[in-house]
Amino acid sequence: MSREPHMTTEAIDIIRRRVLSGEGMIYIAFVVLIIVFSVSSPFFLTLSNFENIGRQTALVSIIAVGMTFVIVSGEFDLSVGSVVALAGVTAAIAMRLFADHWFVGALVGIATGALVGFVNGFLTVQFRTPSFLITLGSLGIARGFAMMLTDTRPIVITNESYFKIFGEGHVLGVPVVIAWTAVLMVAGAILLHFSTFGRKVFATGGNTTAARYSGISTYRIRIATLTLTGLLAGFAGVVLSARSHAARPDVGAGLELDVITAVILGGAALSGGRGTIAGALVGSLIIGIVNNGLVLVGVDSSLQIAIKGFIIWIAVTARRQ
Amino acid sequence: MMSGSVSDPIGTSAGPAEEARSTPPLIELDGVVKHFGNVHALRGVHFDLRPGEVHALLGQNGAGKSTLIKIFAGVLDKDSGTIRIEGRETAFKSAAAARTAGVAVVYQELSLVPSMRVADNLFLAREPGRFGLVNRRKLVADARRFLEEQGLPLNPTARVEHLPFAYRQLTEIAKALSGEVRVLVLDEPTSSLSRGEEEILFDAVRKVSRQGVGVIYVTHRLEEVFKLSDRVTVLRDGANVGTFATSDVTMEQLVGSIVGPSGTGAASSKSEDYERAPPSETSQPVIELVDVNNDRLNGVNLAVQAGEVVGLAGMIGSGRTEILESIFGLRRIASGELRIDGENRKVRAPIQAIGLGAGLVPEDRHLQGLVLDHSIERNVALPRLDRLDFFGLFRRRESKARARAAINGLSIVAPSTGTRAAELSGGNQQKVVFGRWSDPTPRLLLLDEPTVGVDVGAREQIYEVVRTMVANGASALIVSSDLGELLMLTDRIAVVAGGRVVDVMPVSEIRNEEHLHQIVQEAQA
Amino acid sequence: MSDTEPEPAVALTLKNAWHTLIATGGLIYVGLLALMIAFAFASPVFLTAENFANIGRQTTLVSIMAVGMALVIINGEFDLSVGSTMALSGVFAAITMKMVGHEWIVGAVVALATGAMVGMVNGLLTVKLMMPSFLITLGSLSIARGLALLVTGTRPVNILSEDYVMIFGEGHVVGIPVPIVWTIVCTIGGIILLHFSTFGRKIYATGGNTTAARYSGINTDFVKVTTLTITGMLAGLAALVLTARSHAARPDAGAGIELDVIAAVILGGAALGGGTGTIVGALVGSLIIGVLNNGLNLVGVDPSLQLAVKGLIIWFAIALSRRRVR
Repeated sequence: MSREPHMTTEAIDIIRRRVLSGEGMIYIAFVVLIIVFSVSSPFFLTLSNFENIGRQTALVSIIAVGMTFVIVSGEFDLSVGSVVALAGVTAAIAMRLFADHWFVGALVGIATGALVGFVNGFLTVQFRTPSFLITLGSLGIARGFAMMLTDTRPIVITNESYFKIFGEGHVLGVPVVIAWTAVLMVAGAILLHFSTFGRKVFATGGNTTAARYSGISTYRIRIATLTLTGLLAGFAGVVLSARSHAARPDVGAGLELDVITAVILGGAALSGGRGTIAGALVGSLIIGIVNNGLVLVGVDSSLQIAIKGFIIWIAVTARRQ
Repeated sequence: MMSGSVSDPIGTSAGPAEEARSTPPLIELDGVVKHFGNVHALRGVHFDLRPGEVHALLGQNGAGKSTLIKIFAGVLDKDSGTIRIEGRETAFKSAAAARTAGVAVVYQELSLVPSMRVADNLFLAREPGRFGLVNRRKLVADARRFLEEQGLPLNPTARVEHLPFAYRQLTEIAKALSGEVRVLVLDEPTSSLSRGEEEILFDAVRKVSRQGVGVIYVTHRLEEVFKLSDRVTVLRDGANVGTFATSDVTMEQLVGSIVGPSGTGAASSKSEDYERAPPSETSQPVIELVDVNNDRLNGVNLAVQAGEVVGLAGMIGSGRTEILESIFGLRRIASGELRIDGENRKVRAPIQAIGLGAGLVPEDRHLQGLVLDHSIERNVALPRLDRLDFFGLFRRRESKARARAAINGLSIVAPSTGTRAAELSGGNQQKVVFGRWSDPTPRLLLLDEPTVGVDVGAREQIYEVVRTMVANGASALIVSSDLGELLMLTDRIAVVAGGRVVDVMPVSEIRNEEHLHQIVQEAQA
Repeated sequence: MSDTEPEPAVALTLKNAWHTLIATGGLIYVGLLALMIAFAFASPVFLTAENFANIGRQTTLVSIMAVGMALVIINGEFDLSVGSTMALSGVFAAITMKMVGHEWIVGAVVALATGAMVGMVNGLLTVKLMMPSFLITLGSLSIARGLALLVTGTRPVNILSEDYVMIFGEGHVVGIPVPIVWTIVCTIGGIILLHFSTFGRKIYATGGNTTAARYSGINTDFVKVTTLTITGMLAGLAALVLTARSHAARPDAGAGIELDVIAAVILGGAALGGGTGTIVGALVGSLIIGVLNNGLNLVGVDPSLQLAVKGLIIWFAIALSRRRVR
């Protein structure tokens, strides 16, 4: 068996397929976008603007890591925006009530997110119901609780190290927000693409029957992916509250749209079984760059909301088999 | 010493045939009985499999093959009888138990994740690695070594969804073999493969059996039996007809035992109980296909005269069903003509076909025929909704009357027209599908496996319905794997193979079911 | 595939009355009754004619859109965009009325047409791209909202037409407030369409088994596009009622109302996978939500909690519908 020529044709084949099938299109679109905005605005291609984009897309990117797991396993989570708000609120309240320590806030915020995610997952498998419906319910519930706990008013956070660690500090000159995004991205990529757990996630979404026949508990996998997304949404809530020095119960509304769009743009199949963390990151950056670019070019913020809707249509169209 | 080697198929090759005979069979069934309600699927089946042999399992649809496979797989439990694995009595309570006992059933495309690579699929949920991380290099290397040992020509890094069908099948087999396997069950593995692809599969099966694995090979194609198997067991009506050494039987003998004594006389008995005027040769065909091509058909030529019943005989995957689908507007015709009453028509959707007088009874009544959750009345009304329309309003009373007429006319056993289709037996469900076309009678009936999964009594009633419809002026095109049924119902038989009508002959030229079986087998080759 | 054996008919005994209640969807009627009794005891104001008119008015928007959503869900699809569609329709109606001298008929036509247009685009994209409608409508949710904000500059648009206000918001017909009249009209229209028309049969069949419907000559794509268009149009009608009542079209109106609408329909007995459900059920579902909101208000429960309660209702409705399947 002559392996060498075989491998090269295969490699060419893969490249050709990736580029043409839309899996590669996103990267091309990414580069094109950067070029277009660089030409139309002198401020776009600056280091500080890129730092800006990184900070602005951090929330979407962080949650997109979890959403990639969820979508690859064949599910959806519409509740992430509300979870961001609820987690920020519980973190702020915990720091007020128990101890004004950054760790308490982070722990409670993240745990809140994970709990909501777990309930989402549990109900989804228990009722054998599309998760988008279950999470549509939790979207309301989490938001309601966030508003109830705060009496619809923002809670001010005063813990300096909380701000430093999650919101405003720098690590080796890099804003912590971006550092966290990078860390979670790498961890997510390892978990999805290099771990046995990741394999199980792909198998669960790609062919549930096959996964079950191979001894995978697809129920547990789906609960796990939804819990993970909840956890990361909780983390995003902590980051957001640290950045704004306050926990607002009305933040993150509509965030699910950006996150799902990012993941689908990044090449995840709607039916599950396909998707990458890197793709989700690029998807998230594309959304960020479009928003940032539109602002720099001076487009109305209302129009940006409409454009987001169009992007999800485009993403869905591109995923058409 | 034997058990050590068979439990490790990758290890040293198992002993030769003489050695195998001295050891107990890998798997042995004795007097296995299985009912579904009052239908006897298996009435005391005997079967044994020796290490290293390929044992073919033959029988018509409904003979009990698939029930037997499900029992091997642990999906169904037997009602009585014994199953012994290497001499020890066992009862498979679940698919997992069967798997632990070393029995692997290869289903078609059921156990693969298409978006993953071959290697990923082989080692799914048992990847090599540490601390929950996968050693990707070792995964691929292990898979490559395993595939080379098994002699399976598969590239471990290819994604399954990009593989041609035969190689997906091989991947299925490889996956089945990658555990501790002593018995490999293959269920019609070649039904959707091309000629060249078949050879790849046969090679793989031979290699696998040489490793000491016993292979149970279920098929409809007799040539494969002779090419591949050491022994062959024939089932008919849920019971053994016999087990033969392949080298000792001829194709005629096998066909005879598959069809049974009743089949030999079918053609002659047909004309007696089924009398009507033969369609005139001069009349214009109701429907005519001229050089019809599309993704599954290669130049189909076929004509059905008014009042004529034509049977389509062929293997699964030969294009039989696709001919019906193309006529009914479910499959786009790429080139060629579809003439109805001599006029070239473009039928793009079923509604047009129905408007031109066609009616289809599809192959899978659960998937394509019925809305199981809905009442008989709703189901019966489905294809006639536009006729039951009164300025946008639905004529409920009339629809109910129609449904009641269908229940009476077809002797559907149901408490009322409001009974849900899901609550009916298979035969009654099929009668509901027929009932949809009872008023008015279509000019061209397209029947795809009209009696599959239907008990004997209901089957007779369905035949009667078809005859009545034909007597009322309908023509019919019938696809069936039950060749006796074709001979009984039709005037002419069109033999389909490779997406073409290979031959058309009047039923009077066919001696009996056995003869037709042989014609179909030969057309395939 | 083993054949389904006929199950013995379930005898209606006290023992399994509970199961029958669940299976037939009768539980929600009992639930509505129980809720009303509970609130009647908890608040003296609850059981008054005035309060009932209140509930009717408050649930109007959800009820009208629930009629459309019932069609869509029975048809096997979902529409998450109804809230934004309502806002966009209202805004367009108000703006065009300003331009043509406050003619109510212009506003009415524009609102209905806008809603129908959004619905049709949802439908066409869903069937042409063969994608889940909840994703397509998630996109249009954002697009419609964005456009509504854009054309108004995020500010409310006042409505000065008295006729408009009377016809859709504040008038009375034989003593009944017009919003309730419109709800009744939509409900009856929905019942006729779904339960008495030939098209209704096609909706049920398409949702129950799309393949079988297609094999029976039903143009399932057309059916889907039509039901989504009808839902859009009813969102437009809801916009008329809302804007007439508040004398203004707000671009941020109706955010999150899809939650109530979907909850109402599922609570009303529609199967999540399509194929079963009734208009009356959807209306009762909507009333339950309305009674619950109203009652919680009267009893003095935090409005924030009501949002959470809506989410819980969706979960509860799903749990109920799962029971029904088994």
